[in-house]
Amino acid sequence: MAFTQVLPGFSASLYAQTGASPTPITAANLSVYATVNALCVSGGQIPVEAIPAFGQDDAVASYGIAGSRQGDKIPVQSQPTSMTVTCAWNPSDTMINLMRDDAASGKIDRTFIVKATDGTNSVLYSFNARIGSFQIDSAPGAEAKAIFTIHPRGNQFGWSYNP
Amino acid sequence: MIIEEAVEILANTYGSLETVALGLPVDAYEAALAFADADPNSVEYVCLKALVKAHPIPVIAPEPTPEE
Repeated sequence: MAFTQVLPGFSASLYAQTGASPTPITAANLSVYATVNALCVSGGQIPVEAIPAFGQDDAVASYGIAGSRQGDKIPVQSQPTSMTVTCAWNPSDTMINLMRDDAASGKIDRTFIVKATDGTNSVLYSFNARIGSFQIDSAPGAEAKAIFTIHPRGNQFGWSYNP
Repeated sequence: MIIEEAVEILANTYGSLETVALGLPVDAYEAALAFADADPNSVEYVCLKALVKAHPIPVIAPEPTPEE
């Protein structure tokens, strides 16, 4: 599908499936706007302070070819990038507690969505991921922070736009 | 394999769509026809896009004209 709208100034939000034992969206459905946008509900929003860089890593496999002036850099190893996010720690926040439980488990796959919108048009980046760490930073002089890292599963991500 | 079966397999996989599509023996012409008719906002479209990429319609080169 073509997307011709430039988002000159947009805000991004992070959403996740709710529930302790979610069934993540399949790989193909992660690229279907209607499917993933249905998960972008207020109850599933993770109250992050800022959205870190998202997309794919710049990992490449490099090959030198004998007799050739140029080699190959093939992005076969490029994978969805991990995101370390920071939230103000609210011990009773449902989604932060879900992230804490996911980190404690280490084997719960959940669908996450970064929704970038200018108020009218939206771009969704959806991926399935596990939580790899969960820390509370309670340094005095500032509000306590919950910091955790979202590690996407390989090949399980998709982009979609509002039709 | 009929296209509908291949689409169902792709729609339910958690693996790489490109890799799974390579292993599905579908007819390239049928896949291309189905892809042309698919709704761009549907999961069928995403699956058929992977199928068409994995199974392109073969380009048959014209026979070389015999030299006189």
